[in-house]
Amino acid sequence: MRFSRRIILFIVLSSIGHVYAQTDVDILVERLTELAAEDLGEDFDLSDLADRFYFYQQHPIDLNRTDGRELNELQFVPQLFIDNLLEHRRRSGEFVAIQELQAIDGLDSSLLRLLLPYVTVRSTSSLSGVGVGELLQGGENDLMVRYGRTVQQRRGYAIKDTSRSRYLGSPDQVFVRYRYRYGNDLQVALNMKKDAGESFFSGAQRYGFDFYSGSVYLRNRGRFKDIVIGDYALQFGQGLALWNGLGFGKGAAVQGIAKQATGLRPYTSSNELLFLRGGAATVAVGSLAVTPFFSWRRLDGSVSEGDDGQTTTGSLGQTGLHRTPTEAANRGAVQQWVSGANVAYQRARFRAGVLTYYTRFDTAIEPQPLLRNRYAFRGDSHWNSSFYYSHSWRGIYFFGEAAHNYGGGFAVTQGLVATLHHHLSLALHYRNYQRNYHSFFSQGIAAGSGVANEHGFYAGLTYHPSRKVEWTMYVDAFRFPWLRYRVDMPSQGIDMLTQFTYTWYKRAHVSVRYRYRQQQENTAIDQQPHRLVANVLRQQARISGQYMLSDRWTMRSRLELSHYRKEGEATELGLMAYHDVIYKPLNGRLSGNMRLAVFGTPGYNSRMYAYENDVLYGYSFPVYHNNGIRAYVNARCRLGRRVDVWLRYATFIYRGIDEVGSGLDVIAGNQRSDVKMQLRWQF
Amino acid sequence: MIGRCLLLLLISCESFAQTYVGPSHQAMGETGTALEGIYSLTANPAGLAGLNRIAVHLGYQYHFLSTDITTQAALLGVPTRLGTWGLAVRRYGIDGAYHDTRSGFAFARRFGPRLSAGMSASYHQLYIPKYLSVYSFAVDMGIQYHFNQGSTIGFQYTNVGHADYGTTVYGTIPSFMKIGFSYPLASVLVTADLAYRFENSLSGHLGIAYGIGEVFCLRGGLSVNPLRQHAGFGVRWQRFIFDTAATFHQRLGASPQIGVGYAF
Repeated sequence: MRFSRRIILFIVLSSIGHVYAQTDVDILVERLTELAAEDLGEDFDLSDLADRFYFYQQHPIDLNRTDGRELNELQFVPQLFIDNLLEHRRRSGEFVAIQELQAIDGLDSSLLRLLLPYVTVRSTSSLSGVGVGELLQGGENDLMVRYGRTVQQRRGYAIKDTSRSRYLGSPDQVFVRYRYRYGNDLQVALNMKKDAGESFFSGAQRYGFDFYSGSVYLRNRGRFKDIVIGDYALQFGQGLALWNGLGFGKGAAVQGIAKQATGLRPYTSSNELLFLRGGAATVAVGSLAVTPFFSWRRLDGSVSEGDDGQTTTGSLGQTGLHRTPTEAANRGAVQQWVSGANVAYQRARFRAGVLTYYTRFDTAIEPQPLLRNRYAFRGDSHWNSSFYYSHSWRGIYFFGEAAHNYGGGFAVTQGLVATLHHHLSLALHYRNYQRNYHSFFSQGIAAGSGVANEHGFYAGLTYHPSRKVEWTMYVDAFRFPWLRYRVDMPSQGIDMLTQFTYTWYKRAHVSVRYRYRQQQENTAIDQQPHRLVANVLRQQARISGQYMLSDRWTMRSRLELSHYRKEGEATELGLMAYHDVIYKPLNGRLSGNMRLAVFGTPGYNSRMYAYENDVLYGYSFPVYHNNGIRAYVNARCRLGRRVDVWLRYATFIYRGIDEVGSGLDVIAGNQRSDVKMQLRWQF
Repeated sequence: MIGRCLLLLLISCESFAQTYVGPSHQAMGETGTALEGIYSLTANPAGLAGLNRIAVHLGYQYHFLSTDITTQAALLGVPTRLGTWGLAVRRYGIDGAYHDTRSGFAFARRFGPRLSAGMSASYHQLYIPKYLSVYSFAVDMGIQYHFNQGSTIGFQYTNVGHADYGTTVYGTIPSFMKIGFSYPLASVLVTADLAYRFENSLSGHLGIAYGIGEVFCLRGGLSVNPLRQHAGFGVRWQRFIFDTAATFHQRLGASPQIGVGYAF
């Protein structure tokens, strides 16, 4: 059995050839982030993740040199497999050819297909002995400029009355991204962004862009494994105490329940939250890796001064948008200092770490005096500490974390991912986040809005009887012991997902998915003597498929149904269907893709999210609701070897409405169209 | 007052309680239609045909919400040339307040290497001291078909004649059909059941058992409609069998069971 499996893997390996070097980054990004899409918001920047994939496609990870960190950064490679790979190298010596991968436990054909474009056994250059001149000449520069705009005018731009809320800037979106890289070990990153509605070289943005972010990243310099000056992201343990950047949460791949922390990384995304600014380094001391860090940032908040002179704010801004007079006034009004250290220990397959850090604000945070906020964080400083571990043993990967904030509560998580059989994997995850636990940087697995006030148990199974068939399912049952936003009672819920995928080798795949979610929310029924909660049931059924017509043409389709039911409200049934055409020649000047989607939902509750292709590094999961048509066209043109241009036109045309959007975003008419242009110069 | 409350609880969670299943089946999501062994006396009687030694089992289960509501069970399976005979006694209730007792015998037999069939007849008695004492007879039947690769499909029809106590207020004799499938994968056994109760409710059950060596076995499962999670483990030491199981319900809490058996 094992022998025949290896033969199949070998055939896959030897026949994949260059075709899989084209592995579609978009599909990977979609797979990793789609279930989190609803919480991330439409314009969440996923480019950091895509950036890693493109980078490692161009600079494949050397299996003889990696310590596992780079593989971990890919996020789709289970830690159990990484441990197996490192142990194989320890026992059998350096890899001679990539075909040796087939000798490692935990590798199935689908993982192999995904992994192959990102790994090599060729040795790569390192920074050792490289002079400054060579650094400047031998490195790679990458400059990208993106311009975007909504074609129709939104209400916020038309208001001239200075006493009313309005957009102060133009509707143009401008994003500039610069990267300098020397091999895998030196990177300089700079991002500059102006969102639609924000001023440019005027008002609150008198220094030009609204958001600047930059970092210098060095790694593998003697004892220093990582050094970042500027903006950086820290990810430790299971994210209960400190997790910056993108966190994935639950996904259709059950192994993803074990979060794979990347430790210290430069922050290169254009999202204006979820990062630290200052300096950090990881120093290796024997089996220990010590990461001290310091950060100082200005955050948004509506600050008011009390009678005693103490400034307070109700909450910190979460959008990073500074378009209106109020948003501009709140911009950078709160200062935040974070300092701390992480000590990680690793011995063979066992890892453990201790983390502690201190967060201080110059303004006290005082949430509204509501019952649901009774256990929310109050004050201007707090300490967080956490202990975490992971260990793989005989095909079982154990992981866990316990975090505490002084004066508050505890958050504990414990899980395992087990390969019970080479066709069957099991994932279990338990979480208990006390209602008075708090961290400003947590992103643990949760059904609610954060790591607090939640108990839950997750169980998932993946059955992979052959390289053609994969069936996956999970059930997550959870309770919220205290009140939440729009839920005025302790409540509970269930989230179940099952997905069946059939893959025709190289040609096509089709997947069928069903998701069932039940939670509780306040009823909309008025005139009750007290607030009641009602069960809210959301069901999703989806069939999606992809078919490769030729090396150049790929078709992708999806049919999705969304059902919403809540006591006291009208039941909603939404429908969406789309078809994508993707043109991607192996070597060609032009490539592109387009979508035509038809959707109909009776209301916002049965809305659907669908991943959209965009210009390079631009990804989105827009909301499809109301009745209408969605269409977009993306085109890419290579102007020589070093210059690429992307163009995008996307439009929503709704039926039966005479305005689109809400508040200042309202557009008169039934259409919303966006254009984007992007230029990249690599030199 | 406490007694009345307990009685109310007992009746309100009858759909869980009166369908007693052995601890290994309970831990595997209350599946069992396509499983074999002594615990088939609490599930599909056809599975009893897979018993190849005389076996006894004693089980004890606490039910949701209260430690006063319990089930005690004793099972005996005796394989003979003719087929396998079984005896089962199960009592559910509160000491001195409520007793629902089921005692019966079962017979199962193989018809060739693939097919086995079984049936059981049982005497049910509902007894509430100084208030009520009623009884009834019920018949269950089931078949199993074993495929080449070790997988099994099973069907059971419990309480074929829809027997009842003449009252549905204080107790019922559940009547349902179940179809199940089990599939072995080396040291893993996956099993799934679909149950249809004649009160028009359909429920799904999924279970998994993972043997670690010859001695230890981890089990887990899930039931939907209503949603419950199950977990447990078993230890097989020489001829002794020790099984534990627990069912977790979001609102009602946990229902644990332990069982001890011996195979002669």
